[in-house]
Amino acid sequence: MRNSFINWLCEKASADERIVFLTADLGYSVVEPFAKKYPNRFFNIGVAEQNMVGVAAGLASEGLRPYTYSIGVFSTFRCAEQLRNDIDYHNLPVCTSTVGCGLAYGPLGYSHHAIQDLALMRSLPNTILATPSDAFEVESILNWHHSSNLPIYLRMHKYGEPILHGTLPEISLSRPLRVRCNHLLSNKYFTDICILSIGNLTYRIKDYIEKYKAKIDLYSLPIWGSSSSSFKELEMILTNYEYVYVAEDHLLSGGLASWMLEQSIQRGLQPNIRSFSIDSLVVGKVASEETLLQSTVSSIESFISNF
Amino acid sequence: MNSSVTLSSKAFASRIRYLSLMLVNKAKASHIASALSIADILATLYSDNKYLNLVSPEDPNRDRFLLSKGHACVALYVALHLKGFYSYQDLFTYGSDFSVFMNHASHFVDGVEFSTGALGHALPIACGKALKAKQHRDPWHIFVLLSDGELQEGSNWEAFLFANQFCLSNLTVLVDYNNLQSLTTVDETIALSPLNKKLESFGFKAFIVDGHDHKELKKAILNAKNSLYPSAIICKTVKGKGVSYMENNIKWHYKSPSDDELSIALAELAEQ
Repeated sequence: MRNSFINWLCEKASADERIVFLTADLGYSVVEPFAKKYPNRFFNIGVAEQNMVGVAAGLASEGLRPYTYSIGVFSTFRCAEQLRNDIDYHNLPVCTSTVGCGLAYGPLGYSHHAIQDLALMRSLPNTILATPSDAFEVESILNWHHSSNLPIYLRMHKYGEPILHGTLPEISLSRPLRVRCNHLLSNKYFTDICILSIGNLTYRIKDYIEKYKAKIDLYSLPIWGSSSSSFKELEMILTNYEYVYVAEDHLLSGGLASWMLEQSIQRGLQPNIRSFSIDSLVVGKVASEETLLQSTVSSIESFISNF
Repeated sequence: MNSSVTLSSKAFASRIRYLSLMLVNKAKASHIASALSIADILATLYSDNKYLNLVSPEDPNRDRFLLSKGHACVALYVALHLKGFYSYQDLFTYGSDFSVFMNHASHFVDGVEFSTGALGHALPIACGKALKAKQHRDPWHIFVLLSDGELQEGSNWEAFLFANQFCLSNLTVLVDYNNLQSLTTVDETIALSPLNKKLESFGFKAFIVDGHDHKELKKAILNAKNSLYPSAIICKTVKGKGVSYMENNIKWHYKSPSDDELSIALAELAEQ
């Protein structure tokens, strides 16, 4: 994902001189192509996330398009007030891009586990949440954001994630993206169950559905947000499937599933939402991402194997 | 836009104090002492385009000013009114329900560059603006006014390092050094002294001036605008300056003057 991100930036920046890149001293072996190609538009702010976000706000308020870059927890929680007051409140088109979503940095410990970031970022009323499930989605998100003027939080995993889509998907706000749907194979439009997944769980779920030939439809959700007015397609899913399972590499509290419930309540819907999220028992546990995700992934597999 | 009047910096400061007192009395708002503390700094900047080149908020080449200590915004609102950016009637909606003239600096007010209120925010933003201007060879200068207590926020020191690293000579930091913060003096809280040496060691050209002496302020501002380095003007001020019973009295960080107290304050100002 992160390579797709930096490649897009390198390409887009040649046509759009407003694009500038800010890192809080992270991105070894990722950011170099941009730094080399655009040395005057690449700023290593140093280990100073609050300043990075403030500087990005200042640059954006003067008409530039800043992309900040750091690890998920650092450029969200460390500088939450700057994101809230300086970027979101002023509705500035800053892209807060992060790597290592969920438990991607498992062995590095709790300080590096971005498992509450959505709870924080989705409380910001103007900020769009971008939760790509593969590198194609990253590119579509960046294209979408570039033509908008909104603050966005781009939550990427790391690298090497399998590609889920045959081509660059067309995306729009709060529109679920089909990753695997049975109706394409069987002419039956809706199965009883679908899974709406974000981040690094989506490809695993796709694999399980294929492995067990399960009659479960799978969607990703590239962009969504707390002020989302375009909930129509999600509403269709919620009303047409008997059960909607939400899978996220995030704690249940404040994540996508709870956002879906909030949106449903507001619209008088009574959907059957179930959740596969990260258990808070992982807090403080240090292990590989595979190990830490095991209980979540096993329950997903066990569930899928029954269909 | 309303028509502005040309005032001397002294008269401009006097109007800031007078109208600020009336506004906080009407709105029953806090922070009058903070506003009085910066009245002379704002008057020096806003009364003459030589110091803050600001003819219109839409002019891309205007000098920028950020009030980091957003709680003193009433003084800024008056200054912008005196520049002719909005009417007396609009100004006096200050503190009313749903007025854009809220009790911390609001970017919904014409001429206010950025909303502030939480301390330690404006300097990094000013650095971003200054960086853009420097790289694009924009002719404007940016001023950011901080309180002294606010310098206890670490984000400011991240930004000082940044300003030096990126040689932001188009940035001037003004410090309202009245040595009073929320509960007691700055010295008794977390002392800053020697602030000029600290800032010089961060690569800033530091000036120390009497923050109520317009001549000193003007000289330092022009020097700062022409500096090859980022500049800091440490303005030694008196919190509550101009109203004897408010001066150096912590109470007036919070309290709003009653009608009787307002009359005494305005009478004092009239004698100055």
